[in-house]
Amino acid sequence: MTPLRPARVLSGARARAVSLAAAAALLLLQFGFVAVLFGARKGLGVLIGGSVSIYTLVLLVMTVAPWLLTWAYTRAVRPEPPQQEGQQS
Amino acid sequence: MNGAPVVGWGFLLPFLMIMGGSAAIIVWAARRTRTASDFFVADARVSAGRNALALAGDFVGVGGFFAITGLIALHGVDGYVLALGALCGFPFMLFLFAEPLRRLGHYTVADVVAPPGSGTALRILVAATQMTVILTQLAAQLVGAASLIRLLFHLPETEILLILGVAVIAYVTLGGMLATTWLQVIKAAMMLTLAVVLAALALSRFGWSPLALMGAAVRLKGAAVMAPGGLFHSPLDTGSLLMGLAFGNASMPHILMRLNTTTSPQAANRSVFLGTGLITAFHLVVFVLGLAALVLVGGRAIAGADPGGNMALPLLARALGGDLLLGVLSAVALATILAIVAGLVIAGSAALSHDLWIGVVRRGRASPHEELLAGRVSSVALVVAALLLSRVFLSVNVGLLSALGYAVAASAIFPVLLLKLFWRPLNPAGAIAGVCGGLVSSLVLIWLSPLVQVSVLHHAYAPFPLQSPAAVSVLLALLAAVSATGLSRLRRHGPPPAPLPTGTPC
Repeated sequence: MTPLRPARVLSGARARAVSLAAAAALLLLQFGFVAVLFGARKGLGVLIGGSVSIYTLVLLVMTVAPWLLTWAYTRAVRPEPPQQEGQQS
Repeated sequence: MNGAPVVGWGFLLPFLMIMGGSAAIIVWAARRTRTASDFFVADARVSAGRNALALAGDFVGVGGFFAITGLIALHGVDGYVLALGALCGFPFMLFLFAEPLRRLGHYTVADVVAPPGSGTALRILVAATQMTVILTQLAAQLVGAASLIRLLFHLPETEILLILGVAVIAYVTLGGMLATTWLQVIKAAMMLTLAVVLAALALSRFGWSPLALMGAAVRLKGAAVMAPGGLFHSPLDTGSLLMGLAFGNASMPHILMRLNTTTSPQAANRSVFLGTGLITAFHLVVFVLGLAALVLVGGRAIAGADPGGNMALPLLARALGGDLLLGVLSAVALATILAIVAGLVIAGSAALSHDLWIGVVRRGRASPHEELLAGRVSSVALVVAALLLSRVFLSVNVGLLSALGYAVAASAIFPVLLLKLFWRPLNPAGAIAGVCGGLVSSLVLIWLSPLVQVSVLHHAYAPFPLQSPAAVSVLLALLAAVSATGLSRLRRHGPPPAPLPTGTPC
């Protein structure tokens, strides 16, 4: 098995850019969910196999997606090592 | 099965065990709480794993656990949408705040937004904003707790609130953040375990198949139970609500303060990541519990016990495990209320003593002993103020108090903290304008919203159509902060030089 590639340590402007991009992606995910919720209302209620609706699947994806985003983020960005006591970045 | 359950003998043993354990934690933590750093942030010695549990415990209150289960049971899976908004708060906190706050902060948000040298006006304003959020959340927790305990135990509210207040004072003043963190860790572990046990017992009735449970819900209530439309009717309102819940959760002072209890910025990041995993798993379990309450208890029995649906979970616990499980659930609910109130009181006392008394009145020239004493005294004052407020607000909708806290946090703390950490030009004038803009706009818009005008004042029409003002007030706060920063820079440096005439060689 190929071992997982270790996370890269991003710092300074690049880390901040990745942080802002991740937050923007999460905000887009939220608004995308609202757009789907009101844009495809009838379609979301369709039952698959008699019990699970498309809406239920969308809700479950929306529950897990933020956590997956945090997982990807922690793989991409690791905090810089601690500085000396009292020193601020 | 009709009517609210009255907690019986099954409650006594788990309750006594929790109270005994809490007393032991207080005694143990009191011996280790000697400095202000011990008192406010447990001397920054909490590991990432423990802090993740404490963060999850702070996030998942009785409101989230009981209310979301009830909303799903009464309105179908549409009730789950509220959980999605709050759930996104932790990832926002991880991406934007966790590491820089731990690196820069000492105890509170004011240490980052209004560090020494940025003027007393900004520090007072940030501390007052934190106090507004904390007092509304404290009042909401206490009023919610009183109603829940009245429903579960049929006891009068005043006595319940007084007992709760005395317990919180003992917890916070003696044990500080260390005792509060351990209580939160134990309570979170108990709540997560209990949720899994309840879900397992419920699924065992359906051959361990979530699909069979969903099938039973559809057979009972029709396909509408799995479709949208039960609760949310306007896209703008839903988007604003989700945004307010997420930004509000990401900037709650008592949750942000937990980041400073970790050993390092790396541990802060790791604890938020682990905490996000825990609350994601918890919400998946709550989804099952809501549908199980719908099928095994029934919407009519739930609404009969409490029209808001808060009794869905206790009724489900009694249906699945009798008085014993109902007793355990009630004891865990009490521990949850105690832990969350204690966390809020610690954060409030930090704003009151560290930001205002030490930072503004004493201008940072206080002895360590005075700082610790100020923290303890302000904790007592805060609990008394919260008890008085909760007496005043007993008849007010808990949802309104909670929405107020979230709206103020999302509008007045989130934008300025974001700009402070990611936009270098922000100056004190911009920060003051941002906090004021967010605070005033969120309060005014909540007042004009249907939440106050229609639900509380019973008017037919609300001038502002949204339940949550976040979509407007967050933008207003950002705009105010950026404009005031620009204007104050212009005033200091004069107008920018006129552009060079076309054709002039550079």
